[in-house]
Amino acid sequence: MGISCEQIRNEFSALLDDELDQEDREFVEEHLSDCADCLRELHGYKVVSDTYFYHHPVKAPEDFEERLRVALAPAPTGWRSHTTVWRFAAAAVILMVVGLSAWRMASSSSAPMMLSKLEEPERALGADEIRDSAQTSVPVEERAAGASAEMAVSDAPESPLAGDGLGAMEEGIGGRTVRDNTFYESKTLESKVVAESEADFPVAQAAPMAKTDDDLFVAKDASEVAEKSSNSIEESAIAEGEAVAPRQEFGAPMAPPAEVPADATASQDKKESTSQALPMAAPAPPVSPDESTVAKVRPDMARRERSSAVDQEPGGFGVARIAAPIQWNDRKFELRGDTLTQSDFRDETLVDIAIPSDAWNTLLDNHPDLIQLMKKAKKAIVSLDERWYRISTST
Amino acid sequence: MVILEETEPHSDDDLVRACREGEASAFEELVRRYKDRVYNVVYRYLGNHEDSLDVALEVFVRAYRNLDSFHGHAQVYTWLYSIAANASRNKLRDQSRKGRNKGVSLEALQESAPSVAQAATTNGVTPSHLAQKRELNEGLKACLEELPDTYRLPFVLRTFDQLSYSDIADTLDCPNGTVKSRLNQARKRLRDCLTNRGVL
Repeated sequence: MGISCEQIRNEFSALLDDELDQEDREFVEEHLSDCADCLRELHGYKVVSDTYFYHHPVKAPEDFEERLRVALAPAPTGWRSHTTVWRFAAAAVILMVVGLSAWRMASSSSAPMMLSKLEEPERALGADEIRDSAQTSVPVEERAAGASAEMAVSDAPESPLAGDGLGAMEEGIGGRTVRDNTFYESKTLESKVVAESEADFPVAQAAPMAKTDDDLFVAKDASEVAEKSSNSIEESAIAEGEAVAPRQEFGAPMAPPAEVPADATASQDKKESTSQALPMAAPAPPVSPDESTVAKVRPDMARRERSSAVDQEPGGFGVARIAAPIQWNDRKFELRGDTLTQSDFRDETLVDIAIPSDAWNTLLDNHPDLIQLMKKAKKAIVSLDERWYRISTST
Repeated sequence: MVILEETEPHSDDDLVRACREGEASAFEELVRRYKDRVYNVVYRYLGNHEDSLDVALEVFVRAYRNLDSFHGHAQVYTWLYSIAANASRNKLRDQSRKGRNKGVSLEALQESAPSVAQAATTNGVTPSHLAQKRELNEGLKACLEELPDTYRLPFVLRTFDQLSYSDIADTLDCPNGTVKSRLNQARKRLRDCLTNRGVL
């Protein structure tokens, strides 16, 4: 192939597209008449062009003009889009402000109290003592408040009973529906944040409150707190069907569930009138993280809310929750004494199973989801494989 | 205001002038005149209808909003194609950023190479011939997709819209010689690609 072949081949496209002037065209054609290689090369170019040229043109969709008209409507479209953006921006700002205020209210209410308590003249505690006290109180609080919130968040979706518990709560909050799990979780998380943010606060230093279940957060003795919380927490967990802390050993006091209504209304308490907010917040069982926050931080406020809670309890949320049935594997259970009993149990012969024991392990192998049931109570009577079992957690 | 008379056809320049005067029907006429050509070129460049529709709409929206920037030195369609070229390149760039495969779309393949059974029933051609043709079409489509943008755009403008080298040069804002060499290079690469695929 001589240099002229390369020059000629550079003109092939123009030749095929009829874009060569007469002189160049003649020159190329003359070369091709003597060069079989270039002719073969040209054939390849032509096949490519002809094949693509064979393709049918594609037409725009029939509604193209209509779509374009919509796209071109400048004023309405622009106005709408700007408005939409501004609406979203405004909504975002409002949400942020509300969220920030709620958070600040929660956190600021603790800070001044912390300071005031630190500065109380009659309090002889120094910073170190407070720190020590806080550390000793953390496990209690963690088990009772933070842990419950955490567990509720992590366990709630898995627990087959969680849904029922939520349903029960719906009934118990006087018409207010809390169906939104996202809301539930976010509020639970919020309570966790609040609880954790105050983890350093010396719970045991808080003023003792009236004899309600909330006392566990203001009690001076951690063991006493644990003792007190054992029954009430367990009951509330059973009543609500909420997931409880799985990290606990059997027999240990159950961690309480996070209280959706209490949490949900906690922030509202601060904004709404007491009479409106309390019917939902008040009956919350002792271990509501939010309640604990209130109790620790503002004894006066907590006392107010607590008294309202007592007032509201008989006809309120707590009763409804306790009355609510608990389900496990499509079976209904009810609390008989301290035993979670399958509803259709009628004095049948029972096989006693202790936890821990080999028999329990065997049973658990065959029915792994029993663990969920036993998270709800220390004792349970349940029918399995056509036999009735009384499963008891050894303390 | 320029009032378009219904009876006589208007040049592109008239239509643009009328558009500038606020005559909405003039722009509608421009759209009717060029929508298929713009869409076809964009489709051949991008290879799928969804993106092609987006880009073709964008072309006319941009044109409408930038009518003042059209000075009339070039043809309206080369102006539209230049907008289309930029919009298509941007589309491909966005796709590559998002990790979307810009390879041959199934719909484009099906369109350019109808199924053997379907074609056999309509044309009465032997299945083996159709299979061969289909193979060629698929190969061409794939090779076109592999062609670098520099060569693909002039090739598409020339092959699928029969633009002259001069118009392509206006569209791409480059000299005629560049168009000629790019087109030559495009065909050479496509032929090599087809040969490598065993199609040619």
